[in-house]
Amino acid sequence: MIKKVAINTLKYGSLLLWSFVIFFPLITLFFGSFKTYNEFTNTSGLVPPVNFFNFENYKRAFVEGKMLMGFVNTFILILLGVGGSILLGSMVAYVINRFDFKFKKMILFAYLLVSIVPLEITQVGTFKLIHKLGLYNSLWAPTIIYLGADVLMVYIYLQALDKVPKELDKAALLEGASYLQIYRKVIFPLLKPATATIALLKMIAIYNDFYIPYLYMPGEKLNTVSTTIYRFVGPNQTEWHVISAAIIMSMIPMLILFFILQKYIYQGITAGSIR
Amino acid sequence: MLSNQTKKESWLISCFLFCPLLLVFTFGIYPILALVEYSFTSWNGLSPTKTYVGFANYIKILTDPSYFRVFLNSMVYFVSGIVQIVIALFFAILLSSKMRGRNFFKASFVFPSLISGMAVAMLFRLFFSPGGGFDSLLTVLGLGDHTRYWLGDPRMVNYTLGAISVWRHTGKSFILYFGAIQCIPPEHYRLADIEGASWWQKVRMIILPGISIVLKINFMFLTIGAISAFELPLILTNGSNGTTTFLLQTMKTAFEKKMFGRAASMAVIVSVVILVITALQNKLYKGVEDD
Repeated sequence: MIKKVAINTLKYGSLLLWSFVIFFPLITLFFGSFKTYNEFTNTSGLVPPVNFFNFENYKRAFVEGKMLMGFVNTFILILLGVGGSILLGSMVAYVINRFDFKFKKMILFAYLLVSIVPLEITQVGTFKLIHKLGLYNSLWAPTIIYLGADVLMVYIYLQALDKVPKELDKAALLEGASYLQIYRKVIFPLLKPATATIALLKMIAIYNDFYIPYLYMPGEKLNTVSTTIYRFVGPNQTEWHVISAAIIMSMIPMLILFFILQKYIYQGITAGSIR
Repeated sequence: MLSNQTKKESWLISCFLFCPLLLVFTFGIYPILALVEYSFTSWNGLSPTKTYVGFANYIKILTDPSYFRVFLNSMVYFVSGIVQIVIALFFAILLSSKMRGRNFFKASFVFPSLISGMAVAMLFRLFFSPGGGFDSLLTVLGLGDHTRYWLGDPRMVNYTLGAISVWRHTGKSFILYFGAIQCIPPEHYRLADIEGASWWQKVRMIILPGISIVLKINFMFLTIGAISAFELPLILTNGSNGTTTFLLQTMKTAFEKKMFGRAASMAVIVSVVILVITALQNKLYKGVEDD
């Protein structure tokens, strides 16, 4: 009994401690985003704002920082990047996992090499190529780099496919299904948990990315959420109460999307479909 | 002579591989080859002609200690990567059993990974500024004497950046481990229960082997991440006060100083270091598995 209480205290104690570490900086930011300039400079970060309905900072950040455009551009990149990754990744993994063919080892080695060398560093080599292809300062530059040079999805799908028994393919084949049908109707649906994981990880990666858009899309109309904030902070160094509001706003869409996708992520492959 | 089935097979294989391979070879493999070529030139990234200079870039980098000192800063990010793995694994195992508040904790742990790196950097620029949230917390805890300029003091700043890195990235490893644990067939646990396995035995015999591939990949990525860390120092300190990393220096050499040839050879060196580490790690793991 005492042992159980002690274990539970340890369990919940560690969980609560880590939650505090995560939320404390965010709470001070949240408080700050509702404070006026004077309030912000004169009160401690631990003190809540006088008025939680002071949305002045949010208005200013949204309008002056042109945040809407940042959101739209980022969402286009996510849509293309996530969709492409799921499609291309599952196709490659299916073929590699289920068939034997020439150059398979070479292809696996290519993916390995690309996944090992950091995406950022190869940009020294990619930069000129993007210019030559006429993709510089367009949304295609980041999209195509996310699809070609970030290959985590292939590995996640390969691992998931290992756990899908090959007997399922054989049974479908005997029933007269084509390979394309097997991929679409048998394999792909069973990979749902992996697909959800990839969607979330890619979304995080693209939403988080700063350097690629910064490098390839200097145009003001092509700012993503990250570059919007970076370019907004520069000339507004002293107005941290407005910057706080901008940072909070940049978190909101991801938070909403996370709550929608969450259940797919945490849901393991249902035992029923695999057995 | 090909059977009908084999023909269908090779048709499918070529169709499914065409687009992905085109992308991976153009934007993954080609740039790596281009790096190698540039590294033997004194190219400035603009002029149509490149002058080949042999190994001059490599000799310059390998003989000038100022280029290599920055690798020491990578150690901070490496340690921070280890801390991330331990915390993420601990909580992934803890939360994979049924318990109260499970969904809340899961969601909150993943939350920092959802925030853009830019927002994290700016959040902590404010949080660690003099008189900011962290100093306030220390004061409340009676540690007011220990406040300092966390992002300016050259003795502190790298640790501060490492801590921010833990805060930001642990959730990502957590998702990977948690997902992998969920994919372990429940029969394994049932069998272990029948045989009366303890909690620790289940962790050692079922969970750890079950997620070993993910752990391996994650550790590899974290090591690579440590060597190639650059976003936080770029945004927070712009590499000042001894916070520059090899990658940040490479980027600045290329895109600010316009010395693409020199930068390319730095990129090749860091890539080779990463390849060697990865190969060593793979060998190490193989050795462990054989035992």
